[in-house]
Amino acid sequence: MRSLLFCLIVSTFLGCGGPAVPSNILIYGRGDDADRLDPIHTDIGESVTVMCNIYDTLVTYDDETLELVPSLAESWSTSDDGLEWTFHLRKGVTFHDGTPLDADAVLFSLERLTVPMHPFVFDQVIPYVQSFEAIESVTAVDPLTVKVRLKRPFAAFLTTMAMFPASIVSPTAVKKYEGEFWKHPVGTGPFQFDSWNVNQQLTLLSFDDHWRGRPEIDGVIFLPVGESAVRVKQLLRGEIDIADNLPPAEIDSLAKNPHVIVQEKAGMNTGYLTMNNDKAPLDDQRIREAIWCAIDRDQLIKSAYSGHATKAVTLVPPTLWGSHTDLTDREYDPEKAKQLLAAAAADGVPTPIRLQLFVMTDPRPYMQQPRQTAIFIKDSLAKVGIETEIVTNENSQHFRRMTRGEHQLGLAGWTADMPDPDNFLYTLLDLDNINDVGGNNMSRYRNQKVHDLLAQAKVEMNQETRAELYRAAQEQIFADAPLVPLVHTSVRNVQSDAVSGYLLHPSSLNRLRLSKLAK
Amino acid sequence: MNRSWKRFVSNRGALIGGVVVVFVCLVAMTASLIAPYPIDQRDQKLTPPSAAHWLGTDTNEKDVLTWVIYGSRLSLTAGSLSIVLAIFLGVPLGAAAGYFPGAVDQVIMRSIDVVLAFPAILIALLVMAALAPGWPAVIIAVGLINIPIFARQIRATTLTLRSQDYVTAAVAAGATTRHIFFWSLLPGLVGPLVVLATLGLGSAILEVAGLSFLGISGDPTVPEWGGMLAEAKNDLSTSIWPAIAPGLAISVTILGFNLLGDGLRDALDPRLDHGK
Amino acid sequence: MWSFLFVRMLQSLATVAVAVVLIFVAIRLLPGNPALARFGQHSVPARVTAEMAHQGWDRPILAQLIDLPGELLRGDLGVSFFHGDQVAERLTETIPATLELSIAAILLAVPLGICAGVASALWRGSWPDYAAMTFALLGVSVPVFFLGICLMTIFTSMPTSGRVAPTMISQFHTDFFLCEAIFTGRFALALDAVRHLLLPAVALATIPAAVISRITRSSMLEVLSSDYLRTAKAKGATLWRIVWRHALPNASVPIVNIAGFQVGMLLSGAVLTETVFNWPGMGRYLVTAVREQDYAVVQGGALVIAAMFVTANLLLDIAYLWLDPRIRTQS
Repeated sequence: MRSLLFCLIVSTFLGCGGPAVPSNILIYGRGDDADRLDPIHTDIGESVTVMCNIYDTLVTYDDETLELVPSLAESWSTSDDGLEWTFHLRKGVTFHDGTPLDADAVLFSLERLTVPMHPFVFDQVIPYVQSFEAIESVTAVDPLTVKVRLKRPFAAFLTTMAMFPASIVSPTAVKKYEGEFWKHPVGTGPFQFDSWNVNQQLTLLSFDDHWRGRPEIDGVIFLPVGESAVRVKQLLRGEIDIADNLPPAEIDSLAKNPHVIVQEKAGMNTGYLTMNNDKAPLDDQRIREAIWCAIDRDQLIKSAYSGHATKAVTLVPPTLWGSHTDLTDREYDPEKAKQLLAAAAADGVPTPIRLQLFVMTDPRPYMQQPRQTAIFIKDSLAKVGIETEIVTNENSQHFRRMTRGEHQLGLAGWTADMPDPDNFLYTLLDLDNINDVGGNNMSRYRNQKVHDLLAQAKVEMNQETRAELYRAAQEQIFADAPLVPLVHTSVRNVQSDAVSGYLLHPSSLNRLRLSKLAK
Repeated sequence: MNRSWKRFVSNRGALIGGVVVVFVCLVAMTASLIAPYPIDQRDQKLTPPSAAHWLGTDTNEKDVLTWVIYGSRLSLTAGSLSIVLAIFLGVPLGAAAGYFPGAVDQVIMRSIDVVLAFPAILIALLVMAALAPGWPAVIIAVGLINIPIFARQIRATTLTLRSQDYVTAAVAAGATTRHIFFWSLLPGLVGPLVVLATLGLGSAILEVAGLSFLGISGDPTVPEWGGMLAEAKNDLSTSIWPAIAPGLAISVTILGFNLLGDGLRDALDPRLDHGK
Repeated sequence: MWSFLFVRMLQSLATVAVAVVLIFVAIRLLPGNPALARFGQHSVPARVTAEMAHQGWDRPILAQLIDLPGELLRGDLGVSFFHGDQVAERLTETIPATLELSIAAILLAVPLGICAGVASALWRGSWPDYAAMTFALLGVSVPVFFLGICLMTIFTSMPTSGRVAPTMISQFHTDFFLCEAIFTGRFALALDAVRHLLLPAVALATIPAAVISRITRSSMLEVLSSDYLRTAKAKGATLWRIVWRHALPNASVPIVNIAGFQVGMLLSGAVLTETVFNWPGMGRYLVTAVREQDYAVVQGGALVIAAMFVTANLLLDIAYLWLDPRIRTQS
């Protein structure tokens, strides 16, 4: 026994006898674990990353672009008034548990999302329910045809059918596991759920009968590793194959490593500085404009994003249709900022101006280094004579306090739920969305003209006309400067050179179906 | 007193501790004079040590040495304020528990047991969630965490003092409780309290840094060692200096307070318990 | 003696009960609510209110509190509102992680601390004393999170995250990974578990080791200068015998006292170590839950932690009785 112990100790330090890794399983390291794997009950990115590999939707994005292509629905048509959509399902598709995919399964999945108190929904928290409230009814016409009726024309309807909450789940599995379906997810996707040790690892295995064909790799292990420095180390040692959410500076140094591949795609997101338009002195347009001019966003991008972001002028990212790309930006101009402040002071705005800046603790894709960004903004504002006090709140608390309007300035941002300008402009700046719980218009911007334009664009079906309406709204918003758009960040993923075939998607969905491993 | 002083200066560890503590205090007081740059000056991101930046720059493009120097201010202020809070609440509780055995003692000590039964970090989190986050909340949280330590030790000392002959004599002579407390007990408590406060200051600084490391802190533009370390650990594989410098600063400062505290204890009462 | 134990046990139960009630009330008094936290950026006022009512959290706190004893008696710790899983189930996964880590740290700290303390007392004023006491001072001065980062940077070949290699988890049937691997004789697994355990255990062991070595040193010094040890020495007992048969047992009461207190602290206080080393333990689980205002998890976790702390103290009292005949006869 003693000699055995000795061997154990010696080999512990020598580091031999390491684990034998099944060679063809992809290991994906990320900052946090999934929460629940039921598409209707979650909104966190870590769960979506897993779910978009387990489930399919009726329509989906092309492998590389944001174009909508057939998935479980082979084709679809819409009535002339835009109120009725008919989907024709693909033949011969089965769920991981053997249940065939038919109209009833689609009906079941969509009704869980739209019918209040559905008998197979065991948890009333459905974060995305608002995105689907235009649906009036869903009917199964025949085993392979589904009809969706809308309450009113809804321009973005087809796009919502590609969103993950509209994933098609196996009715047999939901009925079997009931309230625990979220930890026994069954879909039609390229990978099937295998096991899950919460906060330790989540394993998916390739699904042999997937309708697009079995993926080349045997499976995926999702590994939650909180510390980004540890993920970097694990990647370099080959313990993980893909690492997401790394700090920008670390990615830059990894990019120099020949065994590491860094993928970069312009993301569909906007990081901005919200200003509470209800609170003096931010109710004065000149003060808001001065703050805009005082922040050198080019320098901010270098400093807090290592250069991997583009300067934002409007909320709608330039990768999305309808973005107003012809606005003439307010350039960094501290002198102009001082003049604006002086003019405001002459009209009786009390000086010196002291503001609170609310900051979140944990990074978000659009705000990769909140702490650094906040320090940068504070330093910039100090130069034009605005004093700021930074108030750091844990993320959920941060947004909660800002929706209640407790802030003056605050770091915020948005990643598109779906590629539609409505998702940015209506959600973040419409006067409908000012309320104490969950109103995302945290800037408390009230403009009737903008509201009318956005409402009109919501029901208009012609995309050209809609884009025109959105451009008009963005012009008005730019003039009022209710918030300072800061950046649109790039999404960057880091992978070892053993991984190929995996493509970062502009929607930030991490679909791993096409990955290959050479180990 | 004279004997104590002699014992103190003949104790090498205590002297080193004293020097470290005085040094850190001096650094904190003269930070704006000795720091090579203003705290908001930006240069380049994550550069290694150089002639211009002796300890390199951090992820905010700021000089690490400057930030470490300024960081001493918050550590010392937050540490001492929270200890003052702990003393103001803990000493009366401990003295009362020690002086009135029975119901008072039981109630106080059992409540302290309850507080001790939780991880300190949980209490700090609850305090932070209840108050508006910021450095004042951190100070209050750390102060509350330290109350049991003071209360327990002061209770023990009070119990010992109470059984001393001169106190028993005063009681027999019919002195009022207030008189006994202020004239017989309090002077005896001062020595242990000084020792306890010195050691406590060390652990308070550690706790502030620990909370800050977990992201439970105030304005990040106020330089603070734990927060600097937390921030630097993200870029550890790129750049090690922004982590090493504040880490060493915390360690050395706490070491100083511990050495000084031990020295004071030996000097003030050689018979007191030498462990912690 | 039995009546003393009985009273202490009642006291312990009361402590746990009061602790749980306090936490129950405190977490509900905090600003914000769990429904808001969970809906996040997709909150809608009507739904948040409806969910709070659905969960029964809109009732007065006292009314909610009344249900608690019944649930606890049925062994039901409730369901995590945020994650949907049974709190009891998650605790049975996280407690073994914390236990293995703490026990490993104790197994390192206690012998190391006692040996260092004994050595420095025996060779007082010479180099072993200085070496041991310098180590002890560093141990209480270097923050655990800084030490952890240093260890990770120095020992680059050691794993720095998790309890075993990711592909091995499926081979375990319990959550006591190391114990299970050893008892089932799977040494490759045990080795991997030990490799993962080593650095966090070392980081966690420093403070208790330092504290124990200091207390050992001072109690040993006191005993070594006592008359009866001088007699033993005069009778020609060997140094070894003097230390292990006479001095150490006599110095053991304060040592056990401090060691026990440190054990209690370890069980509940490993949050920082767990965070640095990404250890899936109870401390981190609870800290996340407080941030998410996940009522059931915070209550359940608080209950378990308080119970563990109180039990450790109770065992400590029993150890006292066993070690010190004076206390035994007194009560």
